[in-house]
This record gives sequence, C-alpha cells and structure tokens, in this order.
Amino acid sequence: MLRGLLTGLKITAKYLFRKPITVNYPEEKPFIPPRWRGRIVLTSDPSGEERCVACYLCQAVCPVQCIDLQAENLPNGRRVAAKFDINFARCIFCGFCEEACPTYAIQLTPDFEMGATVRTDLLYHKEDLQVSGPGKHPEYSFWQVSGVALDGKKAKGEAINEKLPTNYRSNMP
Amino acid sequence: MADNIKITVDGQVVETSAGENLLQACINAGILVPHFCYHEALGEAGACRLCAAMVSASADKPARLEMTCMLKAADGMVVSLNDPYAEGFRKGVIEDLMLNHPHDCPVCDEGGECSLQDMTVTTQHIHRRTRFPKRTYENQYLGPLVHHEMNRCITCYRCVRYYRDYALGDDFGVFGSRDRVYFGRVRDGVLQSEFSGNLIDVCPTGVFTNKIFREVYSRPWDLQTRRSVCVNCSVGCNVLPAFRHTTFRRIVPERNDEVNRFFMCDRGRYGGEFTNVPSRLKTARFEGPCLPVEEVTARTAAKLKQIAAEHGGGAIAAIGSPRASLEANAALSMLMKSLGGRISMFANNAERDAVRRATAITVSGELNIASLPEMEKADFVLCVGGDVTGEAPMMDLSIRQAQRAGAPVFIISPRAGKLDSFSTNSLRVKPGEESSVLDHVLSGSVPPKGALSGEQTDFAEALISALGSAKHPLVVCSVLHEDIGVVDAAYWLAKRASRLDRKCAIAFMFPSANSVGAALLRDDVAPETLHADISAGKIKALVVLERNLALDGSPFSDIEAAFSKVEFTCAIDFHENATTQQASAVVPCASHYSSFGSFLNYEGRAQRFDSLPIPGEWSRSAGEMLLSLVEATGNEEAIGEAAFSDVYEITPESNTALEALAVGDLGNRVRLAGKLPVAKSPRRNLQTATHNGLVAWNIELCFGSEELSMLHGPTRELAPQPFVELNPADAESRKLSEGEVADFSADFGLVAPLRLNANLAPGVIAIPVLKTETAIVPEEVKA
Repeated sequence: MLRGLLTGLKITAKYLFRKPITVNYPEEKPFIPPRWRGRIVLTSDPSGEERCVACYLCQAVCPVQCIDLQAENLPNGRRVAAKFDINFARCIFCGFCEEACPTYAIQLTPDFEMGATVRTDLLYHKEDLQVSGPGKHPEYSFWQVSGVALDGKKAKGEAINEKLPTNYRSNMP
Repeated sequence: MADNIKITVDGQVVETSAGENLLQACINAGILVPHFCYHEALGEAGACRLCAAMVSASADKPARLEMTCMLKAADGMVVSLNDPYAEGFRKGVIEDLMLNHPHDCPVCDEGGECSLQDMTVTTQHIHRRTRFPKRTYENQYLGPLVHHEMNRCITCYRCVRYYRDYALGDDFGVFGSRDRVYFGRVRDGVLQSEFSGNLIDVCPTGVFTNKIFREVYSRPWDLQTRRSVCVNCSVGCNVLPAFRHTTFRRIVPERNDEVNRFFMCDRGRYGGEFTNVPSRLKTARFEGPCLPVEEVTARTAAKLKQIAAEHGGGAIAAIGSPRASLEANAALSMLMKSLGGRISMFANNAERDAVRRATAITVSGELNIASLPEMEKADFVLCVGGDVTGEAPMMDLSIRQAQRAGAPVFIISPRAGKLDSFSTNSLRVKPGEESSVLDHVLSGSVPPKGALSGEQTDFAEALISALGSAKHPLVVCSVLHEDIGVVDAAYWLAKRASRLDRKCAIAFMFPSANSVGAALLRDDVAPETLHADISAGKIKALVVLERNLALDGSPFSDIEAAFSKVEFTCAIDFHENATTQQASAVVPCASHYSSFGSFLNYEGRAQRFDSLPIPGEWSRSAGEMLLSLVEATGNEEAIGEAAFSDVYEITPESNTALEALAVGDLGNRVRLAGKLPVAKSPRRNLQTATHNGLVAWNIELCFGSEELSMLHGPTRELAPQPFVELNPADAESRKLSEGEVADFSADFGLVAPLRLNANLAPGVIAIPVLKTETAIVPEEVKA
C-alpha cells in the first residue's frame, strides 16, 4: 500500500517542476496555430469586393447543415449571396466548407472566442461573417479567371489568360 | 418481338430490336453510355465523339473504336465500353472540350445537372495541361426567358437540331466555322418560338439557362419537387415544379410517354410563376375583417345554412371552375347537394354546350382520341377553327413532327396562326363557315355550283384527295371559340373518315386544364339560367371557386352589379382578384402547384398531381377547404361514401381507376356513363354576330390569353399590347391604315391600334384575348 502511495507521489513530484501547459486564460492567451479551424469568415478578393459567388457548395458539403444561403445577381454581372447564414450552435468546425469553396471565400480562422448566452446570438448573418481582407490565398480573384463578362460586355477577353471575343462572322483562317 | 436480337455490352447480354440505335439500346438496358450530342428525340449527330466504345461485329472478329450513336444494333455485336483504349479516348475528348470551357462552374446555373461536369469528374480530368489563353464569345440577348452564355459551348449541335429541325423555328442557327462555331441569332432579340425554353433542357452544358430561375438561383439538389400536371392549357403535360424556402422556383417537364415526353412549351414552363404572385391571398376574410380560416369557414357554413333555412336550397348557388381539380369541384358539388343548391361550371351557355359536346365525343370511346405521341405519327392533319399554337401549344409541336414526317397539314380557320407556314393547304373562312366547307367534304362529292367559292372548292377537293390516301388521319378542333357547329363538323368528318382499315383520330383543344372534368359534372346548371336568377334576386348566397369572373367572358363579368343582388357571396381562390374583392367572405387556398388533385386532360386522361405542402393555413388545397366547409355545415357523412361516379358522369370502372390513380401514372382515359345533354343552340352564338359588316374573332395567344400565366412573371412581358386586326381590303373600305388607332367602341367595345393582316378572312375583325388584369396586392401584404 505504501509502495502505491509513493509511486503516485513520485509522479506528482516529477510534474511539479515542469513548465505547465495550461495558461491563465483569459488574461493570458494561448498560442493558436494559423491553420486552426475556428470562427468562419467570408473573405474579399484583392480588389476588396466580396469573394463569395453563392455557388452553394459549402451548403451542400456541410455535414450538419448549418449553412443556409440564397444567391442573387448584381446588375454588374456578379453573383453574390443575398443571404448567408451560419448557425454556429450547430457548426462542428470540420472545415469541409473551406475545402469545398472554389473561390477561397469561406475560410476558418484561429478565433474560437464565440461564447454567447443566447442561442440566437450564434446565428451569424452575412454581415457578421464578412471580413475586409483576402485571408489565405491573397492573390486569387475568381472573376478574373472565370470568363464571365462583368460590367457589361467589355470585360470579356480582358481577364487573365483569355482571348478577345471570337469574331465568328470572319472567314479568315 | 420477332426481330429481337442480342448484343453483348461489357459482358452483359442485352436484348434489343434490330436496327435500333446502339447507344439507345444500351441506355434502354440501363447501361449508361456517356454522350452529349445524342438525344432520344433529336437522334444522333456524331458530333461530340464521347460515346466511343470498342465494337466488333461478333466475338471472333477484331474490335475497333466506334461511335455507338452512329451504329445500328446488329445480332451478336460485342460492345466494350470499359476497354482501356475507349476510356482513354473519352478522357482525351473531355480534355479537348475543356480546353476552352470556362472556369465558371461556381456561377453556372447548370451546375449540378450538367452532363459536361459529370463527365469531367468521371474521366478524372482535374488539371488543364495547356497554357494557351481561352477562347471567349460575346453573349446574346435572347429575350426574357433564356439566358445565353456562349463561352460554355461544346458544339454538340443539340440546340440548333432542336430549334430548327425539331421545333421548326427559323430565328436561331449556327454560324462560323472551325473553332469559331457560334450558336445564336443573327442579332440580339427575343426568341420567336413558343418552345424556346426547351433549349435549356437539350443543352448538355450551361449555354442556355433559365433566366427567371437564375435571378433567385438555387442548386437543383436543394430544390424540393413533386410531380404535377401543367395547368396552363388542356394538354396536361407532366411537370416537376420546384420549391425552395417555401417559394416557387421553376418548372421542368417530366416524362410521361403518353403525354409529353421530353419537351414542354414556354407558357407551361414559365407560366407557373403565378405561384409567387404578390397578390397571393394569405388571410381569410368575413364581411370585412381578417379572421382565422377556421372561423371564416364556420361562419360561412352557418350563414349558408341560415339562408338555406330561410329561403330554401334554391336560393343557394355555386360557380365551379374548369381549372380547379376534380376533387375541388366534387367537394363544391357536395356542398351544394347538402344545402339543396345548384352548381354552374362554365362562363356562358355557348361555351358550356361546345365543351360538353366535345367532351361527350372525347369520352364516349366512339372515336380514337389522339395522344401527343400518336399525333406525331399522323399522316394527315386537319386543324379546324382555331390557332393550335395559342390554344394548345404542345399539340402544335406534335403536329410539326407529323409535318416533318411528310403528313399534309390542312388548316381551316378565320385567321392564320404560326402553324399555317407549315401547312399544305390553308383556308380562310368567316367564323362559323368552317362547318359549311367541311359538310361538303363529308358528302365526298363535288359541291353544287355556287355553294362554295372557288378557293373553298379547291380546298375541299385537296382535302378529300389527301384524306383518301391517309392511313392515320387526325382532326384537331378548337373548342375555345365556343362554336358547337365546328365541334360537330369535326366529329362527323372524323367519324366518316374512319373506315374498316383505318380509324380517324380526333383531338379537341379545350379552354382550360380541367374543362373535360368540369363538363362531366352531373346536374350543372346553365350559366345564363343562373345569371337570370341572380338578376331577378332569386339567389341569396353564391359560392365561387377559383374563378375570376371578370376575365372569363361570363355574363357575370360586371361582378359588382351581380354580387350586389346577392345577400352573401363567398370566394375561394389563391390570389386577390376582382371577384374576391367583391365577395363578402374570402377563403384562401393553395395555388395549383402547391395543391393536390386530379385533372382530366383533352383526351379525358385522368392525371393526379401532388405538391409540397407549404406551411400556413392558407396553403391547403381548395378541395380540402371545401370539405371543411361541408363538415362545418354538418353533412360530413355524405362525403365519406361519395365516389367520383356519384358526382361525375363516368362509368364505375373509370371511378375505380380514378380512385386507384397515383401521382406519376401514365393515366387512364375516363369513360362516359350516361349522356351529356346539350341544348340545341345556333351555330354561332350572339356575341359574334355581324356588326358594321364585321364578325369578331378572338385571337387566342400563347402569351396573353391564358389567365394564370398572365398573373405574374415573364410571360406577361411577352403578351402584346391591345390591337385589332383587319383584312387590308376591309381596312381600305373603311379608310383605315396600319398603325392607326381604330375606334370600334360602338360595335365591339374597343379602341386599339390597327394591324393589317392579309391572312385574315375578309369581313372579320380579329381581337386578341388579353387577360392581363393587373395584380391586386391585398391590404395586409402592403402593410
């Protein structure tokens, strides 16, 4: 019996002089790695416009159905989300939405401090999710590689790696 | 089948008939062969090269790479789709197609139902190896229905094969050569075909997409759908309306091999927008204030009982609707029976007689009634007394298929429609004169001199000779113009043209989706009798089901005057209109695509439709609402035992079939049990009598003349502004010229710009039927 007690005390004594891994949260902040899957944000493209094109892939892939959105078309040709809701009371921070996002719009951040006292406060709307920066992949702009005409017709052929509109009435070789 | 052959596809033995398209044979056996350009209705083109497989004539012969769509199945053929060489070839084809395909799937409306997307994923093409810039195209404006995004094209030629070769449109085509091929119009503009929406379905990728659906876009996997039946004409095409977030989003055709197979018309595809009409009724009213539906139902029932007790059942009447379901009209009829009241179904006596006669012919089983696929196989077509394109658009598309296969098309009507440009012989007559020409055809001999004009004699002779050699003749007749004489003439022609070796098929174009069902209702009173009773103050209570009396040309058109003579009026409808505004009690019900029930289409084919229940007490089907009204009057025992054959003039067998009918069935045709008495009426009704030397003719338009499609949505944009048409000779004698605002207010009650139409019979004034009543937004929605 004494032997068992001493073994336990030995382990206690061993850990007594080690550096503790707990921190005095919230006075002291722990280190969160940049790839941590925390609060979800909607980023902007390099020109500062919203990146989300309301393709519904995040909603489709979400295993807990916490995302609900509705697309709308802007007069300049862009498609955006008229409504983009994430219910963080339901979200399991799996990161599938970020993986599915074809425009790098939806990203998970190292922020985890989202406590709320009312469940409805955990329903984040589009304005709560949007951030001004591009986050990861700062250079990527979907509308520059999609071949879609923005702001009328002139934009076709002016984006990255695309030809000017084809003149199909020409007979020239 | 005697010509059954066996082929082997990837080790699986498939039975098919000799000469069947090899690709179709594989699909029929449930083997998915990837393809873009092949379409069951359009046939093969060999353009996409995707259906490649290793094919050998028999197991002991060497196999070689072949396009399966370009081969006919032959006995002993061995097809290998899984062969690594064929798989590699298909992978290469996809890589080639993706060279210039834009990187816009996230904003493409085809995503989720795109064949190219499926194939790219299947062949695991994930990386574009080439570094060259992508080709782009300018898009075109193609009207309010179809969105064009030409970058996505993979040149399968399905669109142009559909639009030009199948639907016989001429304002869309293919331009350019080599890698500059372009599919579109010569210049931007509205697509002129009434079937342009099918471009969306035939395009395997996202070049043509639904312009309305894309405004409030949702992915197809998020849409909730239930099978339904189109309500915008009497053909009864099967459709799949889709809802999301409890709002209506779009309609796509659903295959029914005996009605519509692949396609549908734009009126049906875009006409469903009425489901989202802003004037949707969401509250019940009783003599002013908005109340819960149960409260209004209870008060209405009490009021009806009180009136029945005070004045007797004869003081109660109901107006049913030819666009309400069999169930709703039956419930209304039961309500009237329980109170001792009467029910009327039609707008006026002429319509009632014409529809009942045509219905009696349709469901008596005496003549062959042509379904749409049977129409396509006809080798002689005669259209009598109307414009098929405007009255039953899908019949027009079927007749075009018959015409493509070489059938002569004869048209006899006062005004040329779109189908006339494909007709062999087309005759313009005054309204009502169709029958006198057809009577001479019936007699089968040359008419006496002077009875017909030279032109009419030529037509009759050409008709007799073409009809004589036909194996599957077809007569299509309009009932929309309310002319019982024309219905009779068409019937007699079809009856006489039926011989021992052939049967002449007939098809009537009815005014509404469930006109046949409405005509079969037992004990329905003539609308003019009811109107006379209302005017005389004999009717104290009136129940109106899903009818806007202001628009249907009934004698009740002046609703305020008619309703002021009735003590209590109750309207059941899904949207606020002139009728609900005048009614003392209003009960909201579900709109067509969110209610269930059954329709009888123009063939008498019973088809059941189903829909998603939308939350809210205002979203129950009209039939359910009426049954709760019957229950509230304390007569629910009557409902439990009632059968369809108690309410409708159908045989017990039809009743059994109707009760067993499920959503998505091909549908059986009902049979008439007794007789449908039809009054002896003059061949033309009074409203089209000659005024000032002119006879009025209603132009039934594809966009404009159908009430529901005109409530809301892009179909309203396609409806023309009011106009009148005259033959140039008539205009000249009246000193009127094209574009001038003509005043016909004294004779026909309208002032409108004049159009000259040489393809209008002389002595006829053609007036379009425009049901563009502006939507009335109810008070509570405004607030």
